[in-house]
Amino acid sequence: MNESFLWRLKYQPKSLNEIPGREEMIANLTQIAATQDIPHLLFTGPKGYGKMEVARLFTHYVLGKGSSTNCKIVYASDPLTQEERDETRRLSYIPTKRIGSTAGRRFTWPAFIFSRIKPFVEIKPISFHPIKFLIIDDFHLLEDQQQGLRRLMEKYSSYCRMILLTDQISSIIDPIISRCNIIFFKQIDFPSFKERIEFIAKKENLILKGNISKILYLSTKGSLADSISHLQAAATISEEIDPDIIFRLVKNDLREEVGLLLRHALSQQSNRVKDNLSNIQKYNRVFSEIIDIMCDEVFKLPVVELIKCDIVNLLSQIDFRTIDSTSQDLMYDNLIYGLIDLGAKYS
Amino acid sequence: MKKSQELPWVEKYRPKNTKEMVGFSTNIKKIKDFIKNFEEQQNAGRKIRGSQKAILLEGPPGIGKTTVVYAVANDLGYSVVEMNASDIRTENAIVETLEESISSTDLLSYLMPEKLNRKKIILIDEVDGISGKSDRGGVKAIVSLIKKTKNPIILTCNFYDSKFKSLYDISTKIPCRSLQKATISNLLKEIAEKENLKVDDEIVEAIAMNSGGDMRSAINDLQALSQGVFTDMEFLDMHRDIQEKIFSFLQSMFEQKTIRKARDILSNIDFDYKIIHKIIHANMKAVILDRKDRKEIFNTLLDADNLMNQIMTRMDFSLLSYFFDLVSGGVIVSVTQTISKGYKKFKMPNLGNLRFRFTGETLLEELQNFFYKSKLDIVNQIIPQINEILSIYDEPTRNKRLVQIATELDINSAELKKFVN
Repeated sequence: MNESFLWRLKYQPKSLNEIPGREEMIANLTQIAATQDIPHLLFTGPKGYGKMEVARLFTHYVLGKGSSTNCKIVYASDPLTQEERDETRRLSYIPTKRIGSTAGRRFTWPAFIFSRIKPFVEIKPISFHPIKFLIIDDFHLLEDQQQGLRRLMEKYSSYCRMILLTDQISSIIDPIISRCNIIFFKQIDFPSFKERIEFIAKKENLILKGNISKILYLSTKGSLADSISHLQAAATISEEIDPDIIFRLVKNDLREEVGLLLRHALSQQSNRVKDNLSNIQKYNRVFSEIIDIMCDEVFKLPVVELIKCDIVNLLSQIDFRTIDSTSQDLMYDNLIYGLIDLGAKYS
Repeated sequence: MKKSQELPWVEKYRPKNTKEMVGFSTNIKKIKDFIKNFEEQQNAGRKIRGSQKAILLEGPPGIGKTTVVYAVANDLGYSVVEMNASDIRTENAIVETLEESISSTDLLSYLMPEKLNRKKIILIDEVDGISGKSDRGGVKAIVSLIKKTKNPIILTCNFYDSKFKSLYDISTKIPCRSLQKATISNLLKEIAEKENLKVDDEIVEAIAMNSGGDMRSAINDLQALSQGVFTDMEFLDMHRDIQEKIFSFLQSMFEQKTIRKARDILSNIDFDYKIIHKIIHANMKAVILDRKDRKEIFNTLLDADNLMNQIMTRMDFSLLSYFFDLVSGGVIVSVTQTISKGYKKFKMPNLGNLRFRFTGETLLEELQNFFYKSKLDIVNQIIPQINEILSIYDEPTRNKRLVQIATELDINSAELKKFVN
């Protein structure tokens, strides 16, 4: 697979040094790898900042060719299949044939850890590698099952290292944080983003008109993979890429929808608010991202400045409370009823 | 008449013969066959095989396992020698009581000559009640009893236990299923008619539902209801299906005026406390109609949610009592307007997408090896992007491109096509 049709795969970095805009972090990581005593790692940063890419290529760097057998990626947001649930239930019964005080008893295991993590962690690394890696994506979604990982991290620490990825570090329990080295991810800087986009445009014989890399950078929050995908979609239309085409492709519906929600909530049209809300939830964004967009949209509203001030106050309060919240539905309801209440107060 | 009233209804309406039995038809035939077979073999003087000497009725409590043995014995003209969990069942006790009562004829049978020559069935009830310590050697004694018995033996138990493996090996197992709701409710109606009791159909259904297939407890409940142990409405509140229980709990909680009473109601309900505020949130909108009240309740529930997250991340369970105060008292204080009453459909809260199931799991798993994203992200991001790239082309070239991508990623092109469209 040398040349993929999808540019997203074609221009995927193949090694740690190819990742653009992360020189400092990569220097740190290679230093860690050189010490032969790699700690457990916790990568934190918003979606699309390239946590998985760095984690994956870091294991490649350390393990070399053995990375296919000695590295496993687990996605916490993938639901457990029925077979996995049944298997966990079946194995939780220890047969009477076994010798020991546990024979004939029933144990309850956290299903996710039992079916996805434990089988990999228990086996020693294959083909003379001293260590193996486990990458867990969206680690915060494990909620109280995180407790089950504490023991595993220590018990198998002689040969198994874990890289935990999360975008919500506040819901990770302290015992896990204290066992890991935390690495914070920032948005990649614009010059290296621009450089990469222009390099691809040159290779594919594209002509970039106007300030296309800036538009892509802002709309995708610096996610190169997504930007490249949009670029390919634009290139199928013509080789000269206009900002207009990019604007059409990069969806701004979410922004409009949020603006409409604000307007409808303030004028107390609760039925329309419901529709807007269900549309927004289809985008599957993190709640704090919606709050961000809302903060921008507030100033476009045709209302008195005092009301805007109150709305921003409300948003700040709710944004603060998302840190400790586990229920998105509850957050949305709070936000909407707060807005409707404000609307009623000033009408 | 007065005397029969004092009898528990369970005894009063216990079937005397197999015709009165409810819902045991196939098993009755099996038991009868077993006893007849035993008799035939014995009369012919043949040696009876181990598994034909004893049967084991296995099933949940209260479905009539003991009753069916008595009914069958009555039909076939046998008498029953019973030993149940209330007796001491050590090795010696079993040998003494059972073996002697089989070999000798008791005093009563001299007084009633028609019973003198009756053959006997040995019934060892509730085998799983034999405990390891106080009934030492009990299982061993039963096994040796089965081996040298001259009478058919019937054992009953509720669940399989590894302690009784040796018993299972030498007896034939007959599984007994729990009774259906309709059978129980029909029988309850019959009993109510005989007792001149006026009971609503709704309550009979509720009792039958609550019993979970246990006839004995259902009849006991009906009797308790007739004797005024609790009123009809209380009964309905107490004994509903768990989901409806939560709903009536919500309504009764919102009716309370004091925080203390609301807290008492909350502490009576057994449900996962970690998500109790989410359950209240999911079902609250049906009960509370006023906008301002709702806003206040959302606010309190969010406080409770934040508190719960603190408790779970820091493992600080001393805060838990504040959580219950917030969820019960904090919520009812916010209610100022009247609430809507009556039956509403119960909603389960949205607990993340962990229960969600994708179509085409295998395809998504294969795509994960290239894109390194979770399944949800692939469905929401990657597939739309591929769609976007291909949207320019007309149908034939589009298909050609799809096949190209599929061969490149080594996946089934037809499946991918289904996904992208």
